Amino acid sequence: MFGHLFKYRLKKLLRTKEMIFWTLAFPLILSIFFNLAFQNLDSSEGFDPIPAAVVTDDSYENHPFLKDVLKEVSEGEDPLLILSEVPLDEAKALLEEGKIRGYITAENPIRLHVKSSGFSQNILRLFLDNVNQRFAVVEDVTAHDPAALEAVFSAMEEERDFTREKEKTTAPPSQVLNYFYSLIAMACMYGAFFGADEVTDIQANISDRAARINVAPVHKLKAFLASSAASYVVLMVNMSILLLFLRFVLGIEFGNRVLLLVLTTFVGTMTGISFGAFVSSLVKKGENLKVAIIITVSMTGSFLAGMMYAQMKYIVYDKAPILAYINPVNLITDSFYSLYYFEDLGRYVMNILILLVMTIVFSLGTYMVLRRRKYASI
Amino acid sequence: MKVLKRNYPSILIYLGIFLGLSLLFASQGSQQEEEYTSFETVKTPVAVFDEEDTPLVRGFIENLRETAEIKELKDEEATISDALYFRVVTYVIRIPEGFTETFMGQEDVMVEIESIPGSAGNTYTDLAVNSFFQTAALYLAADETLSEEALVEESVSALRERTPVEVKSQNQQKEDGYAKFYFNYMSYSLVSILVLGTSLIMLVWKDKDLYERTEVSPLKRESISLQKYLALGVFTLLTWVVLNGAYFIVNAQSTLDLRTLLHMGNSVVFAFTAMGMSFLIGTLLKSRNAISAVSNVVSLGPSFISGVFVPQELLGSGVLSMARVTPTYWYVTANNRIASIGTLQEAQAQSVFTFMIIVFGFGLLFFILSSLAGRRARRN
Repeated sequence: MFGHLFKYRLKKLLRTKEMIFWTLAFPLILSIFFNLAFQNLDSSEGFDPIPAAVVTDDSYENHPFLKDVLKEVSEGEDPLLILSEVPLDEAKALLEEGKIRGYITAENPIRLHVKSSGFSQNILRLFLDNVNQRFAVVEDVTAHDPAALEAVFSAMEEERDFTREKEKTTAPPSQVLNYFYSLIAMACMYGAFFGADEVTDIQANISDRAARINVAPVHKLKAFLASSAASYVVLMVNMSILLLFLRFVLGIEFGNRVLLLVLTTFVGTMTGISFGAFVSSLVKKGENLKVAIIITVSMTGSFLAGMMYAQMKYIVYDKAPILAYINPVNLITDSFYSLYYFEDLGRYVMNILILLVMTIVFSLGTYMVLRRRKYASI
Repeated sequence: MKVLKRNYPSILIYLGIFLGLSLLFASQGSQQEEEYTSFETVKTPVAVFDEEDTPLVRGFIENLRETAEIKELKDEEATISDALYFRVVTYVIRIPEGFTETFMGQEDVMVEIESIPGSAGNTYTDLAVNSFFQTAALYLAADETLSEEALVEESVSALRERTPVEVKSQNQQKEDGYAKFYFNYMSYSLVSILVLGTSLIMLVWKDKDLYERTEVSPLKRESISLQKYLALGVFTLLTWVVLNGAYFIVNAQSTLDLRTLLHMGNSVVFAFTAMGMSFLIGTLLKSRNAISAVSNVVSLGPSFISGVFVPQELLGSGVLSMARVTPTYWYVTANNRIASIGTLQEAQAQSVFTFMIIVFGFGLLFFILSSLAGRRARRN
């Protein structure tokens, strides 16, 4: 009997095209758009050497220090500049054509000429500030204590860095990932449609199909479990397709803990389905309201989990952490995020536990509402 | 048309949602924009944890404010990692205890940093941090007996020396980020609302009973279609008015200047095109469920690839050339140009009007296609 119900439920679900659309096609389409839109987001903040020019006039030729410094920063493994040494006219032309970000004239102080503003121009300026400040130091020392010049020059020779990068335990902070993680979470929560449908189709006073099932001599719980299992299988297949697509077609990084990833999806979909069932059992007013509630919760949840604006997730953790812990979309997103980003599993386990508690609460709630419901027979 | 009235609540809800979203988005977006384009020195978000409080450290932090916006952060490993991931800060500096003493003794010492590897912000802040300590080290090399306070004072005065920058820009106009984002985002709202609304209405018209009822009425075919077009036109216009009205309510300081007028004109043209698109979709689709699916795809898709959600500068050239086949691309491009012009001649020069005509062309195309499709459907 279980097998029978399971089989027919499966057939029914696969024929409900809009549910397949929302839980499979829609996330897939969105993920392609995300991929198109965000592909440059991480690289856009990356640093590329800045194309710049220096004007080769007499004052530049007589400026060995500037020459040396510029040479130093435009050579080596990670150069700061891609430098061309050109006459003034050419520098102007290059700037006009947008081939360089700015050109330098060796005056006192050294000047920077740019066409528009921007990050590169600011780096250029800060670098030149540095050079100018060196001169200021030298002038200052010459004025007050010429004898110390020697020491200053030798200190300049062996200038060193004062920063040391701390060793990282976290994966590279690619902010694009969170968009995809929240997308998966949203797809999990769309599983609520399945859950809602299950409950609709088990209450004889709500749908015809349920009426038919209810006349069969099957225990309600058994019928419910059989059809829920079918829903679950369909949803898991959808989610697996989505995950595989993200990982292997779009190349989204998830970290290496595959089993835990599967567990997350497993728990996430369970929360989604049980949430839908719970909503559906509480709301008797009809299909549209159920759908509206599910959409509202999952959309708001996705928004707070950073699907539209990644920083939102941080803001929530910072300002209203409670909201982060009761939002299932965020919990699922955060599970993926902590699997990827942190080595330590503490936060991940916490998320999964809360999700499980939620699932149990929803399921118990649904059971309480539905059990022993009898219908008057005519 | 009464049908519209009946579907009122659901359309109103969508309108509300999109309005709320666009406001949120525009305010968020314009903030981001400012960080990137203003020439007054760029400031990167930085967190500083100092384990000692000495004049040197204080002087350093004070000086850092020139190039960084210093953010408060809880000193916890997880919070810092989160903050870096979400770019709340892009650079974290930790000054270890005993730093000053070692520094004054001219020995090797470093501050510990966490940053986003390989980013431009990283290079920038690195330069700023190093330049302070390097300058101080130079003064210290010149005079080992210098007191800490004097050292800081001299370094700071040397660091006040800044490079004169000459900007040769044709347009000195400051860009109006808010308007740009709001109107760009409007393309998403317009398409969503119009496609949903229009196709819902048209579905009702397709209802067999209703269709036959209008067919037997003593009205000419032309008159019926004219009325239908008019009804949709009114709906489009209403949506447009609400969305534009909201702009003035929220952005109270905005006036009806040239830019705003151009933005509005641009959005009228786009509304027309969006209506054409909805008309086409309404003609082709037959089921209610398909509508929400299609409406999501046609509104989200072009928005993502044409620079509504993510600025066009950040999109790859491949994506942008793909986006050229959508009217949204031309609409957004026109908006972006409008946001930084001052005069009508400039608008002409920046081919703003050409873009508007392209958008209009798309609209016409949609209408022609849908009337062709409609005629075929009727014949069947």
